[in-house]
Amino acid sequence: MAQRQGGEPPTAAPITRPPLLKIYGLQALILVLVATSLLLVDLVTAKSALIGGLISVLPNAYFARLAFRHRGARAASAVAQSFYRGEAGKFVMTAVLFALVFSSVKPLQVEAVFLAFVAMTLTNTVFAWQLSNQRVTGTR
Amino acid sequence: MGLALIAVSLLIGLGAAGTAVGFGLLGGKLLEGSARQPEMAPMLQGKMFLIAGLLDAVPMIGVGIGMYVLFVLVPGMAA
Repeated sequence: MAQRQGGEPPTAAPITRPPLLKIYGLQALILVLVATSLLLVDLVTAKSALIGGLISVLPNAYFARLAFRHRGARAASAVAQSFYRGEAGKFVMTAVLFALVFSSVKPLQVEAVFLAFVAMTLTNTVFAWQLSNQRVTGTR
Repeated sequence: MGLALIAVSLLIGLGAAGTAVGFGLLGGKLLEGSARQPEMAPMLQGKMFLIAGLLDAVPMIGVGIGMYVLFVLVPGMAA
């Protein structure tokens, strides 16, 4: 507040939010397409792959939503706090979802669940890398 | 059954501890970097998001394997 009285702050460039809805929507679309194509193999495999992918996508989307709730250098401590909360929530969500799936969904193909989970985690990393590169080019 | 419970505890607990240490370092570096160069804060946030995804990928798989052991391989343990 004290800086605002003296005029515009030196970093007055607009800080845009990353397109999180687009990223996680695209991930969900990829997952649905893969699960639909797996329907040709087996219904249980397709269902298991869909569940495994969702176990990865849902907690990651929650984490990303919290991680980008605050922006800018002035909110750096709030950003760090949001990251911590998001990570804790993601960890708990993943554990609870795995527990729910393994205890209540039958029949289930465990290999398909884990393969889809790992594939969606890798996809999330690729999207995060692209997002990070966009941020770099956007700030320069 | 007891050994499986210890294995699951170690799998999830050590994974969570490693992630916690990594996130602590990551958050500290974000605060430090934002304080030194405030104009780089949005870029640092994007980089932190990327590294956070890499940091907790393997512990999350560990959580999944732990739940698999707990609820599928040794189902009597969870009841």
